[in-house]
Amino acid sequence: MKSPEEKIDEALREALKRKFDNFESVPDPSLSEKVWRALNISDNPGIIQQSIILGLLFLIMVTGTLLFSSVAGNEHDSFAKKNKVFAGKTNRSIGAKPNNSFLAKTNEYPAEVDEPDDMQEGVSVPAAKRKTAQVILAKNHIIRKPKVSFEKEWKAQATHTLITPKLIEINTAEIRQIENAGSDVTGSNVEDFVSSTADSPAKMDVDLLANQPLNLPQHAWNTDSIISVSESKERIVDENKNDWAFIVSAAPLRTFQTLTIGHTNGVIYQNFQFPTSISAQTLGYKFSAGIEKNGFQLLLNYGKFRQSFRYEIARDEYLLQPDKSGEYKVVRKGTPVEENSVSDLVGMSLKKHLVRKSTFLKNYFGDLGLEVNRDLTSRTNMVWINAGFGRELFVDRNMRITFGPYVEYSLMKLRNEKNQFRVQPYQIGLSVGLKYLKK
Amino acid sequence: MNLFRSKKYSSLPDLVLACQRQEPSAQTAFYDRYKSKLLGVCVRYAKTKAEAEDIFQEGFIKVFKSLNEVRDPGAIDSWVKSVVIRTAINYYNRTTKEQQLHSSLDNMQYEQESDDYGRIIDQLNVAVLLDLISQLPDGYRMIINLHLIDGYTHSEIAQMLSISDGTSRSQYLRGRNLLMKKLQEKGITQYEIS
Repeated sequence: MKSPEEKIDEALREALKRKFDNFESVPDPSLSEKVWRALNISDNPGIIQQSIILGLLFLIMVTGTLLFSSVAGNEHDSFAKKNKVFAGKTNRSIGAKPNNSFLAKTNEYPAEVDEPDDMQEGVSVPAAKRKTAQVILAKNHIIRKPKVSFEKEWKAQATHTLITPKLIEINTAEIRQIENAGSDVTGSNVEDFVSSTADSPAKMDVDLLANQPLNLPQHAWNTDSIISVSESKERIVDENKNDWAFIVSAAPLRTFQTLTIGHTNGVIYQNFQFPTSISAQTLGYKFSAGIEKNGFQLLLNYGKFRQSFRYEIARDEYLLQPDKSGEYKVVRKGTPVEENSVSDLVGMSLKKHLVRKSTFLKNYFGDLGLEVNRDLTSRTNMVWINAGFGRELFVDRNMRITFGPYVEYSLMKLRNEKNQFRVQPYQIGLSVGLKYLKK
Repeated sequence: MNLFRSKKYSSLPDLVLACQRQEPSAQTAFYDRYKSKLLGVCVRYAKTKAEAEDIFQEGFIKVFKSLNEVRDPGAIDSWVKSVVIRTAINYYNRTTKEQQLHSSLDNMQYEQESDDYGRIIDQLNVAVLLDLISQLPDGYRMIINLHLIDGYTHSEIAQMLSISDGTSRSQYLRGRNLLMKKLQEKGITQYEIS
């Protein structure tokens, strides 16, 4: 039998429990900021995640750009180094510029051959050397004029502008051939000639050479023996950097969205669901067309994407439901709501287009741009940053195909008039484009 | 692809374990899960809304800092609530000066039947009821909340408040009687208005 005190206690307890067991009070959003600040945790971890990923993307773009430029620079430097080494070798022998060393060397022999103008431009034989060589030749008349004039040979070889160090070996070998052909000249004399010419013409013992009856057989230089490093004529070289180019591209895009809920006036939203798989709900597309000049692209864009998610508006009803572990837990019931909207975007973008042309990652490109467009559905303006990289393939001299991954991120949020939701979209996809170079 | 999207936690223990790993998205989900419920508790224990928010903020910080001590993530609901209640008690131990408690109500005559109090409470708006409770002196309000609403026994309350069991019982009776008096007044007022 309960005492009156106990009855009162029980009545009060039951009544108060009914009132307060499910009593909730929505805190001010600033409270969470204070809590996170006290714990040194960001209020919106999604922003950190996004910042990290965007930072990484930016880093990749910057690294790629630097890599492109540094490798291109290295290649240029290494080419210059090769030339320098080659020039060093040939200068010691004849004092000629590297890419015309053959001309300089062969030019030593036909003293009386008229030098073509273009060859004279290319060869810079020091006056002392020329004089020395002329003295040798005048005294001995050792070399006859080749059957094929050098000018003709030069013109025949006009396309072969690069001469490898192998050329020197060939010339030396041919001199050895001459030696072996049974001339009166001893090997040492020829070697002396070559080496002394190589070392310093000024040191050449002119008198010694003058007294040597050198009778070399007539030798027509076989121009076929010259090996050139020039590439196949089929190769298309991008020399159209300053030309105008027309561009069209299309990109299927997977749309993601960051949802921000504003002041809810006490309404509790729960159980948000976003489409996780690639489907019509998450797939958008974008078409672009425009022009390019000096690596800058100005494009007109049209795109379409969907925003889709589900959520519940919490009710004051609760269910006791078993979870996966079999334990019962209280689940708050809610009214399901589905949001579906389509955005039609028309706008303009400016991009910097960088193309890699050296051997390493040849013809890979990177894009970084800013886009301004208008959502025709919500009548709002949006600003996006976009980035892409990929490969440029040559179709012919005027046409190229570009393809590669593409990402764009909206800097602005789309407002939903019906509720306090703000949606910030970002899209990842594959861009395929055609570029036509106007010459 | 879950790029940029916060994780969904399939169960409460998963969420707790993720919070113990200091995952920011889990901490946000944890906060969102308990914020409204816990502020409701704080409002009951506090005298004003501002004090309730102070207790709420302090309580949540304690919850996150002590979360690694939780060994049974399945009982996290009651653990979180107890942390916040203890924070409220500490808050008033720090801020409340010793109050002159009413002793004249010891021999109060009950003018209403026990069921009438339940009826009055049911009829009252939550905000009005909270206002009544907040008008109680801090010590009474703590014990009324602990014993009548949150279901702590007098021995538990005595331990929490560092008082004797007997003190807990006597303070509870005084506090309850004061609340009943206020309920009676409010009930009569409500009756007169309606």
